[in-house]
Amino acid sequence: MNTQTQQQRGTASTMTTPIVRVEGVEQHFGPVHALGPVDLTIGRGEFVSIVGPSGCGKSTLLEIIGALQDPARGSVEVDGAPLTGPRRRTAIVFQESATLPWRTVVDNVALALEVRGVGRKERRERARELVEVVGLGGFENHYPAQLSGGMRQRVAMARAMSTGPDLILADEPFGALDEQTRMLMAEELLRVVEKIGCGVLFITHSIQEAVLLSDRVLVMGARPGRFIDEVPIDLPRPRAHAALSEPSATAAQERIWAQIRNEAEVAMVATRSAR
Amino acid sequence: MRRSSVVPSYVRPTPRRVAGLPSPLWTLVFVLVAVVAVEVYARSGAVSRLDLIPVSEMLSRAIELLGDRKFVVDSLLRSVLLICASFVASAVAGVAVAYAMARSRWIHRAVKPYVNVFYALPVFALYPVMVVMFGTGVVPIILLATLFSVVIVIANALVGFESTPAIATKLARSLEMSRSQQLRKILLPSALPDILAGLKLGLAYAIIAVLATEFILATTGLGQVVNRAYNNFDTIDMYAGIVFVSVFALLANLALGAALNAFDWRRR
Amino acid sequence: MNARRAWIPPLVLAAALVVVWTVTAALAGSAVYPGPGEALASLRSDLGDSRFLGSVADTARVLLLSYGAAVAAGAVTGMLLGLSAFWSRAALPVVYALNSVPKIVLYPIFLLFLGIGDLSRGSFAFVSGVLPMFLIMVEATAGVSRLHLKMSASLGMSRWSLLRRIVVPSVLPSLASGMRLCFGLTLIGLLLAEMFSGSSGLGYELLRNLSLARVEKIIGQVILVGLLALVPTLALQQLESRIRNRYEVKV
Repeated sequence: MNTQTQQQRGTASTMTTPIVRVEGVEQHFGPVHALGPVDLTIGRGEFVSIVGPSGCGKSTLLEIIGALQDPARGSVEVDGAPLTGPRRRTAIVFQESATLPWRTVVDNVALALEVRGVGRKERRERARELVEVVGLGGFENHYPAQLSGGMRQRVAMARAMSTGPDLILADEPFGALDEQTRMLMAEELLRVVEKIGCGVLFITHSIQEAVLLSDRVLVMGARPGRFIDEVPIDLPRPRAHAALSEPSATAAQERIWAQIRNEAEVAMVATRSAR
Repeated sequence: MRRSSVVPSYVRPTPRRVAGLPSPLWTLVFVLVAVVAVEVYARSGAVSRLDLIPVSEMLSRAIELLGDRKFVVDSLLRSVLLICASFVASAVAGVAVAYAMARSRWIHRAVKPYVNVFYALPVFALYPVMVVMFGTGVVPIILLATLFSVVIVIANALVGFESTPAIATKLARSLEMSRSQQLRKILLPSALPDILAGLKLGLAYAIIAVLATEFILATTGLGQVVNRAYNNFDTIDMYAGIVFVSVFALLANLALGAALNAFDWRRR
Repeated sequence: MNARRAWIPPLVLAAALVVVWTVTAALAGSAVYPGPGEALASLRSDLGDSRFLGSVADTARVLLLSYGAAVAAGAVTGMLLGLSAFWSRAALPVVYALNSVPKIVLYPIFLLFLGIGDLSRGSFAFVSGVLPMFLIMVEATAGVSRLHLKMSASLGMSRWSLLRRIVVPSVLPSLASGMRLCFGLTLIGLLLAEMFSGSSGLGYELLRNLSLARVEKIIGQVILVGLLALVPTLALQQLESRIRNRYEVKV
């Protein structure tokens, strides 16, 4: 059983180029200074979460790393090279499952390969394999409307896996799901990420989820979005929900929660005085 | 300095200006270019004055018409009154029918298919029937215009009534509201944005129906001014009338839109 | 809800209206207020008249051409403009304004420039249909889910690929409903044009019967027009619901 601790993983990742290196990135929307400056490094195979209040700029940062937004300032390097556009090996998983309602599950999963020009037979075979991997065997020819929210997110995950990514950017992928489904999907994600060995940037509102899944949790404050704390999670892998009751896990959750509550209180005072 | 974008073009934020102008100014540019083009073409001599006159002359004649008492009273006011009458009639009838449909499932099932296909049927074809039955006075026009615009009011008001959230109806029941209280305090306010949308469309349709009927059947009214001018080869009055009608329709729709938006709680 | 039973209320309503009509016509007993029987009899005789049938065929021919052109032109130009948010915002107010004017009042301009004949009424019918179709397609294209756009961008989709794989399927429901609306509007435009100044066609026949005060002919022909409009509309409605089932993007 693989019980590498975070320490060991940390050392390993500093020896090779990080998969993501963000320096001095800022974002402005008109006069509003929404994000930054932030610095961020994600090692290969490292799982990093960002938690923070709504609208603090987490999604903005994720989109900048995914080349869906141009930053106002700063630089982004993925796999040692500056961005020139959305990368083939970066996979993005959105909160609302971005499945196309007029395509079957298989055709949705195959979309990424289809865009890359993979032949019909080959991409459908590969898609079918992935559909099995995420546990949707038997639903290949169903349409997204016939699936539950959790199942649609699995389709999104299968598609994300189809291009053999070295980086997954997940923007609150379980946000629209109920508690039980979230727990199952978290375990699902861990399995997948373990298998592929990719780096992950995971945005979530749930402190529990962040602690369960990550090697490091970054706490983001709002107005403008910037990192106010970095909490290493020193739990053995592979992880299960039971790990959350470990004392180090509880301590981490407390620490994160204290930061967030502080931020929320500051925000409330600010809005009250603004009225 | 701006570096080049790494974002695919179709996800980039829309520019606020193109060639220095924001989009509303470009709208103005389009209108001005069209007006100038027509003006130049009309004055160029390439087209006969029996076919086209310059925009400036259209506008000056239209303004003259505003000063002509006979025009204002016989044509403009008459059309305005007909439009108002049919609009009010279709508004009241439309909301009432929609409410009836929302309350009674039988009425809903009976009327809905007709609402859906109504605008596919050329209701104008009924005008000759109405004229023969009611004469060439105001009655056929008001009837036809009301009939034409009531259906769109029904369609929109119905959407409004039916999209009242179920929780609101439960609330009404738990507070033991009477039917009329429920209508006034829950249903109408909830349906209001859609009803307002229906009213705006209802006015647009009433204007179209009244003016089109006047135009085709040339009795009196704003529409008839254009018809008569065309048949008399009076291009000046014809174009002036067309400009007048167009501006009138536009202003009336904008005015009602602005007035109704004040009640639309979705726009707050 | 049982599909067969859904037809009963509308039929009952229609039957009730027909009964009211028959009774009031019998009570009025006047030549200017015929009952359904007389109207249908007149229609039957019209349908046996080859000249009248020629008018019907004439209108149908021009209708099909202008409808087809309006759908094609409106859809293509609407989609192209809708792809640019900036230019849509700039151009739409003008088109909406144009659409709110009673277009028939502009018909004399068509007559002056295109003469009296198929071209003027056909192009007027075309304009009656193309403007609403254009507006519907611009709104639909502009309304393509931003989430789908981001997803496509993240997969590295080219513009052309985006159009084929995302935009066209997303706007198909609006295209279908636009086609249904456009049919009715094109027909109305054509009939109005024929009523105003024509020498053949259903609109012309209707107006001619008005001046001759042949009410039973008018009513009979109105019924015919209604049926001619109804059948394609119902078919287009069916098409629309099939397409919505498959392609509708539920937010």
